[in-house]
Amino acid sequence: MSPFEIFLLADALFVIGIFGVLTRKNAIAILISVELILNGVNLNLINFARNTALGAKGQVFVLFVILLAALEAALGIAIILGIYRSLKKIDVDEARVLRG
Amino acid sequence: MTVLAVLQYILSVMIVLSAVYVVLSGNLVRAAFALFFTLFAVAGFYLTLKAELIAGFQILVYVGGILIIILFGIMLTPEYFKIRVFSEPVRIFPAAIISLILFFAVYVVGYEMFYIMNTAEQPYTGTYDIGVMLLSNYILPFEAASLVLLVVLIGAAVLSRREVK
Repeated sequence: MSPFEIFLLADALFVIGIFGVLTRKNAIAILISVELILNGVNLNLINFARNTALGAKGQVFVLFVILLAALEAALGIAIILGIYRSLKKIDVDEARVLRG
Repeated sequence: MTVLAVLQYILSVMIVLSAVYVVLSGNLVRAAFALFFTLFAVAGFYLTLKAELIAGFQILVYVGGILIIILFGIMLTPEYFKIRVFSEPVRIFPAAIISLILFFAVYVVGYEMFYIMNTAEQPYTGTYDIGVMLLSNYILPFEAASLVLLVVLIGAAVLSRREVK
């Protein structure tokens, strides 16, 4: 595939993730969609690392993105469990107050 | 068409179909397992782009770590046992329109960019080069990452403990 086609694939993955974030109400489903977005970004970075002057810097950047994605999932699940404990549900529309 | 291109097209179809299933499925456990296929196909795509270190990290961290955390999250919020694990997508049409507009915006930007940018396959950079870069030019973000790991470890433990009555 040409670099532009791979760019379109990454774009599609990114947009599918955005769609998921916009349509879901369950907090864990939103977290799953965020992972899709990050994968789209990573795929594009690897594409640029392979095919443009960006070079191996792209791969280093992807390593940091993967690290931060793991941290984001861990903290996200901790926060979601906290919301669950105070509200008994994890519907993001219901979580309106900061002081639970 | 080379074998590599055929493989890339098969992987792209797999990525897009499983990603669409992830966002449309009402059953969260099924969505998580579809995400499993997406992550594996993306890892395979990294291999076709000669980024084997990243492919390994993708499988180790995403498939082995994040996906398991998400499944734990689904099982630990007992909606799974009591109420229902279903979470149907809502507001589909406005979201679809916004997503399509975003897709074409990124498409246009990418089209212009690829028009002026010269793309050529770069020389292969293996794990050795990335390791040298991480410990020379990128030593500050590397160390900052370890600090962030510590902070998140403590933060997750503090957030998820129970209050003492």
